[in-house]
Amino acid sequence: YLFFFQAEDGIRDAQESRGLGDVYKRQVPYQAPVASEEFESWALILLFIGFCLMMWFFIYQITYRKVERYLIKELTIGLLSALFLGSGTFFFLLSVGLYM
Amino acid sequence: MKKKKALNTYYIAVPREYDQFLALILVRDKNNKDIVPVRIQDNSVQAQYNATIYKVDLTHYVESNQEEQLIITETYFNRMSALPKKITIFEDQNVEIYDNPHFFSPYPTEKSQTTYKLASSPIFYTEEDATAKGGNIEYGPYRNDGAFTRSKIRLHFENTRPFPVFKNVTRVIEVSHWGNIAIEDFYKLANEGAELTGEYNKVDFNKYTQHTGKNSLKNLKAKLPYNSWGVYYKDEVGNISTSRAFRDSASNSVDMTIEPRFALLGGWKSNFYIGYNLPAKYTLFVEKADPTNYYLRQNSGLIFKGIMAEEFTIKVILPEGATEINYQFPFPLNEVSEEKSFSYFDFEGRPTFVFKIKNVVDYHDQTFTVNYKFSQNSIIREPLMILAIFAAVFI
Repeated sequence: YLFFFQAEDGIRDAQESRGLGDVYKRQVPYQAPVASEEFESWALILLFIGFCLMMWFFIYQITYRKVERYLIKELTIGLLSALFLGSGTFFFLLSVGLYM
Repeated sequence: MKKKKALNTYYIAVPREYDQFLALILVRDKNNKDIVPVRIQDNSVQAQYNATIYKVDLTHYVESNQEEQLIITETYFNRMSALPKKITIFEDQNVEIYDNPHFFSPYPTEKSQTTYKLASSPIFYTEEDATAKGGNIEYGPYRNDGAFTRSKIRLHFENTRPFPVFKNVTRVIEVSHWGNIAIEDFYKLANEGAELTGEYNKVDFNKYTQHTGKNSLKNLKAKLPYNSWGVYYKDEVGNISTSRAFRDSASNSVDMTIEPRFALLGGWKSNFYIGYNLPAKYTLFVEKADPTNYYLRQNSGLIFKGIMAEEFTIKVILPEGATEINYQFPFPLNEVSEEKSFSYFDFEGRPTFVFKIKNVVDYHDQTFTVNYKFSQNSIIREPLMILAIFAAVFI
């Protein structure tokens, strides 16, 4: 969509801005779900738990033969560790300034 | 019998030959408010006198037989041209300007006087009706001028400063609901002063030789918002280290001084990027009554004061899933369009609004608002995608 406004057609004066004071009172600053100071802490804790779960997953894969392993247990540990590693990486990226 | 009535409308005329260089007119009446005049449609009067007419709606009525004082400020660009057009590295830059010393107006003028304020005595000034007092040249007083009185005087004087102009400025504002607004500006800078004749060499132009290249552009000062962080200054080649920034609580801004990779002599150009981040809590607001309604408040002017941008494009990139987008600017825009931007983990793209303003001066240093609806739950999308990637690895 393309809209063209000619600058000459309707230059309104600065008095319009007088109404903004009332509008500004109804607005509050935005608060992100996680404060930026906490990004590193969340990243460290989540990644740490994620790596522990990942190690548990790999050790489980290695120590038991295929027939002895339970699929449910594999899937749970796998998904849990993905959850922690995923969110940990996400907070790590936020902490270095790469906002998505 | 004609009854005299009170008026609240006033018309200003600008000669057509100067109107193309007019960036801004502001009118101030006794209530001390800045009013921006509106250009009226072309008509026969304008064609006959080769003039452009602007209409001002005053803040109050002026009764008949009453006097009113108006202060009219007109900001022009490219009215001064270097003469001589090319100079050597050791010479001083001189400029000339043509102007109409009479008050060019649709109304007759009983008495008028024009004073040109220069830094020093001019090399040349048109002598007719002129009184020179050092750097101040007074023309007039002229009595009983008719409407649209035209005349031309010429001034030729020394001005050793560089003439920086931004040929194009593009600003990209990216909003993230995880708490950050990322801004990157791209500048096309030019020095429109007197050009260099002959070759450029470092033997003549270096920092140890005094009084060379006086009209070269060596540095620029910018003011960034006080809460800026992660500021960078780079160009296509890479980072430019010749810059300084200082967070000043007294002026409530981050004061930045940049030096381009090379001093810009007359006619030279340089392109660069300046980027910075703002924590969202200082510029993004939520409506108390309706928490899905967000307001982004940003500055509509340049971070460099006193320099004009011939074209300023502002791109606002909102998070994917933002709807019902409205915007509000304190002045009219030249062009508005909408497009989609694609960044990390985007499916349908992020809604992007592109605003274009021409001839941006310090007056445009105001606040504009972009308002949109966004469901806060959708910000979970990004971490969920990383999760999906890891999950795929495990499965």
